[in-house]
Amino acid sequence: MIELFAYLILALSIATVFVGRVEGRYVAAAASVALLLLSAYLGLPVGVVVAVAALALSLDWQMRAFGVALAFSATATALAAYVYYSKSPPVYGLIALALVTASVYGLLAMGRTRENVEGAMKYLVFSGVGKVFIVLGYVLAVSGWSQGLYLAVVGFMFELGIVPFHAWVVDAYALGTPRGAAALAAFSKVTALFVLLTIFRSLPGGGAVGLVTLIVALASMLVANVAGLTAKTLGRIMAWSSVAHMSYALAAVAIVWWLGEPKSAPSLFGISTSAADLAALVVVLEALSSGLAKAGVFGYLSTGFSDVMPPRRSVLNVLNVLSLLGLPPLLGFWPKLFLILLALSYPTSVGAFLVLWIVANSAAATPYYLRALRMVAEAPGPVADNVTSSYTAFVSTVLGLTMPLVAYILL
Amino acid sequence: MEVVLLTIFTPLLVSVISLFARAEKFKAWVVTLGAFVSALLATYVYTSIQPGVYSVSWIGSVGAEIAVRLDHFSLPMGVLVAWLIAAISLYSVKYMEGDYRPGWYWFFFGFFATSMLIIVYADNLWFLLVGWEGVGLASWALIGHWYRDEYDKWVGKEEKVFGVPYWWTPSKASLRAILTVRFGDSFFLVAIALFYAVTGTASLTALTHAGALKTLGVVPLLFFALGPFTKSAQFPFHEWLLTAMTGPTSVSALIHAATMVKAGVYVLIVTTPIFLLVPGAELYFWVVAVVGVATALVATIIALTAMEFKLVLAGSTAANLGIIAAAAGAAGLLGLHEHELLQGLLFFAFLHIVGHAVSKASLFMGFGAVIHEAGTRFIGEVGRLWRHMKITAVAMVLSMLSLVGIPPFVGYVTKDLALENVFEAGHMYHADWLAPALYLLLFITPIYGLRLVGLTFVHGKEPEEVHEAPVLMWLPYTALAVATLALGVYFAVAVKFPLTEALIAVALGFLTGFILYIWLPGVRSETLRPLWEFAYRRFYLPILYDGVFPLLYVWVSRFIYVVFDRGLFDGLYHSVIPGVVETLSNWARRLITGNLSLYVLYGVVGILITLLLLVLL
Repeated sequence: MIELFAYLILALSIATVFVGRVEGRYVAAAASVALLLLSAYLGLPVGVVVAVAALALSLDWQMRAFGVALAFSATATALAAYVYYSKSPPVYGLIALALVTASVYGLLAMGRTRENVEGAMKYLVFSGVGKVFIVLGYVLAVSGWSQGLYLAVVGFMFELGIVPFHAWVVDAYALGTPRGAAALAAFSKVTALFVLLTIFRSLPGGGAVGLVTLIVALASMLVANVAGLTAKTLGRIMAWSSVAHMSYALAAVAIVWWLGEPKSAPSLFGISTSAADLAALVVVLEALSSGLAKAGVFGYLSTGFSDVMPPRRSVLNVLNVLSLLGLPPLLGFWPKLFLILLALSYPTSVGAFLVLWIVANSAAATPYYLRALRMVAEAPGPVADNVTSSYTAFVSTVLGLTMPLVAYILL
Repeated sequence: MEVVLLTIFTPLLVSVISLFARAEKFKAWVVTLGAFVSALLATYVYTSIQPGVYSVSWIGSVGAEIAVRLDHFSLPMGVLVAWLIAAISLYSVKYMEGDYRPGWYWFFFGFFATSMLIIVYADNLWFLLVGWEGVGLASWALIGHWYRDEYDKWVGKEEKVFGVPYWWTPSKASLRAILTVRFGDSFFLVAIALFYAVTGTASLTALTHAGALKTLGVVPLLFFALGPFTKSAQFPFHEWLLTAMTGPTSVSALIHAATMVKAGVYVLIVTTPIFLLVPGAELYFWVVAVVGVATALVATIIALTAMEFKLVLAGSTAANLGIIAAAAGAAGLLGLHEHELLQGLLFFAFLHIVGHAVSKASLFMGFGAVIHEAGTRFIGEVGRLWRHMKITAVAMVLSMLSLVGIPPFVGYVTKDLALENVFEAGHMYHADWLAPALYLLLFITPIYGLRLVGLTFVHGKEPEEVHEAPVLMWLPYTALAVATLALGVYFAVAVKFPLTEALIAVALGFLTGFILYIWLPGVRSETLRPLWEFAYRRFYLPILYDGVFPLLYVWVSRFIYVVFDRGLFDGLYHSVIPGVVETLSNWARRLITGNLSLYVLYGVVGILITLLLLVLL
């Protein structure tokens, strides 16, 4: 069924011929509807969520020629998810990764200001480096070179913006256009995480590589949460938040890579599952909660870039920020909880340490999320909630409230 | 069991009902009705229910049960307490009429009644503790009832002694009371917990036979005693009772004369057979007896020199509580050697609770009526009230004769029986100093009684317009005054009419008081003035409680504030940790310079670090 995605991508490629004549948002909206139908047809819930997010963005903002980029990025994300869930060859995931990088670059730079281009360029350079490592590592790994996994992991660290490979993330979020930043969070990062899961499943885990990855991920979440405490603008707070969330996701994978399956299988809402599946659920939920909430926050900004105080208020983004904070029962709470449960499934002092570390990090992040909350809720201008903020807040709340059902579907 | 529980909880029930009524009269009458129902039920329990222990489980893990004990102490005490509450409630209907805080008063009145009845009937120490804390809380609420702190509600005049304010407003007095009582309660609670931990039971009945108590030292007993000592205003914790007179007189009659303060000595009496089992109990009983005698002497001297009607009565209350405590301690000392006599000796101590309560409730209500009608709380500002308040005067004279121990009034019989314990213990243990101390006490007692009666009803400045108290007020105290005589005759016949050399000391004191305050009033001695001043200032103990202790407390609190609060905690949480985190945060944030070359460098460093980790791990 993967050829259906190929047709959609082909159609979008043809549509680029008309972008000069038709407002890009209509192309994006049409492609989003098509993607929505396709995802529904394929039984791909993540694709549905992502398609509606793209539709919301296209309804809210004039995209000009970059509407096609928005459509491409959403399609790439759905493709990556499909590759993971349908167990298709990982190479399609790598194609999706390449597609989303080019599209999001365009969206970040679409304002054409010096700041936008600078942010987009940094994204392109470091994301590009990351992809090189991922592809190279993957090829080496499937060829039997044990160093391949290490290279792939380094590549994902670049791609996801894990400390110390994170510097570009802050500039991309703060200087890129808000629409680009929304796409970066909702599509690029989500795509990368699905590709990570695909490779995680297809490559045998290496204990030492897992441990190194875990150490870096733990250090990364700490640095991000500490740095976020003194961040001054909404864009930078969201950037540090993104680094932290990607670190949580990577830590979930790294735990299983390092320790393997625990003796007693973890259980979730009464469903017995494997540690690998639980880690994958953490990654998917982390990707969705971070991506959707940030898409909502960036998607309501009418400024040229995000390195500013929001000029207008948003009520619904309060829910998005609280979801990022991890307030139950919003969506953002669950991946943290599941990560803790994953750590607890290893009845050792390591498990206890991991729980303490994760809880301490979540607590340490509270002040900067509350500052972000005040920024959006107490901005001087009138309320500027739009389709994107409404949709993302709605999804963050509903998915959180129905998490047992969501977990049952995704596991 | 159900009837006893109804006896206990009816006042609380009606006090809760009173909260939902707006009319002051309804509040007053519903609580009074509840008090009378409770009194009738207590009488029924006394006459018709088989003695024994009745219980239902409560919190099994700590041995807590809702258990009541019906025996020769609790049954008469229940009747006494319930009827006194009913009588004082009736008196309060008129006395508190038009008060600005009726809801508060009547709720805590009922709340107090239930708490006190819990103490009387409780067999389980945890259940007892509920009542114990309840009366403490009610006492605080009722002492501070007149929270507006008007001058006429104070104790003392607006003057300072050595820089310490020597007057007490209701708010301050209530705080003083609860702080003192809570100090003792904290030790009391620890002691109960220890008893339970050692014996596995908190039942008073079971503790009487608990062999495990032999492993307990004397220290827990002394901890336990601090509860009754503070509650019953024993020296040096008697100060709160004196300043508690800022509350309405009905409260003074109820809580600070007839019932709550009696709870402490009552517990000392009922626990004596238990503590006989503990090694080192002799020391404990000596402490109780000596503290009791010291309290009686100190408080009697205070009563002799006080210049406020209620303060004289409060001093007298503390003195009699001291006598009861001393009698209980002495009974324990004698019981160590003659175990079979113990219950009888304790009953003598118990009888004085009854004797004193009846006399003192009447006196408080009567002098409350005097203050109410004359509009002053100071002795000497109003006199010759005999001509204006004849019924009250007769009732007060009768009650005072009982209080100071003139035969055949109940006060004489019960006090003499209680003091027999102490005399006998002094004799058995060769404590020769005890007898002179007791004779001195007996000598002074009639003098302060006659001083109060003489300067109020016989001599002094006659007011122009003072009327007899309303019938609803004089009826309860007159009935109780008559009861002092009737009970005296009854006890003399049914129990024992004591005739000892102590009567000579009383007679001499009576004669002296009669000469000084009835026959030849106005005799003064400048030579004795410093002594009078020393006693009038209550041995300057308020300086300790209101000056030194608060000062020490402030110093300690400032020390804690500066060193721990500001220095350690504020410094740590508001300066050090935020400072460190802010520095780290700024450092991490400032790595993002926008310089692409640096970003590449970070990437290279990252790769090197991961490689290094990979090699090392």
